[in-house]
Amino acid sequence: MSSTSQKHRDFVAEPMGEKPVMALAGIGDVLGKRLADKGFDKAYVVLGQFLVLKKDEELFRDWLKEISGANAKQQGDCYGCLKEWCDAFL
Amino acid sequence: MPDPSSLTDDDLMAMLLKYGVKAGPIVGSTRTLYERKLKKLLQSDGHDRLNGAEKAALYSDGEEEESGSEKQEAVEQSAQQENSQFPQEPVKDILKDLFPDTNTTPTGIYATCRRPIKGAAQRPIQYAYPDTPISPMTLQRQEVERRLVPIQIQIFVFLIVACIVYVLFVNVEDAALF
Repeated sequence: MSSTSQKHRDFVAEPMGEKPVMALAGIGDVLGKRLADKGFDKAYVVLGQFLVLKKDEELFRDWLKEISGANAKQQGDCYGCLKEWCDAFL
Repeated sequence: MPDPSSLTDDDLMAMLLKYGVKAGPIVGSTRTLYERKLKKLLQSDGHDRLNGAEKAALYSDGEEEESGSEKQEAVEQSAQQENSQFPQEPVKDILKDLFPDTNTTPTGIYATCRRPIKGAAQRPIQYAYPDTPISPMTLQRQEVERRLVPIQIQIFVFLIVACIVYVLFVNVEDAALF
């Protein structure tokens, strides 16, 4: 199992509430801004998209790449972060 | 080949389902993703179909010209199945030629029993078998019994000795014995 970042661990530790999209693992300032411009300003909105895609990894990664230009690592981090959050809280 | 972009949401979902993809809700944010996925599936299927058309010509009876997309898809699927079956058939034929009596097994694995080699690996060749099957224990017991004195003679001897002792006991008037 690859090691998770501190950001990942922080996010997965508690309900996301009103956390901004930048709180997601893999989403930094640049990607966060792009997502917010498209309307995904809060983490829960990205969660919404994740759930609508039925938590499918391939589709979610494609979508994230399409909307924000995230690279493979960033896609993976974000997916892993959301998946683990869902396993814990959903 | 229908264009995914021109399909309705329901049709798109149905097409994806045909490829075994259980799509989630097709809404604004997911529509393009699913269209792209369907395109990918159609492309990969198209490549298979090009190869399958040659094979289909070998195996089908020329009924491909029937109209209706269902028939086409059935031929596609059967062509795909024949693709997967084709490499296996030459092997099966050879086996059938060599061993015409073999039964077909669902797994395709055949096992033929080798006759045990007589006289090898401490397997003594027994040419004749006894008329009455007697266990080795019985044979041993019979051999031993042949050597021992039969029990009836033993009882007889015992009685004779007993009689002699009794006669002696009675005849000795003298109590000096005791």
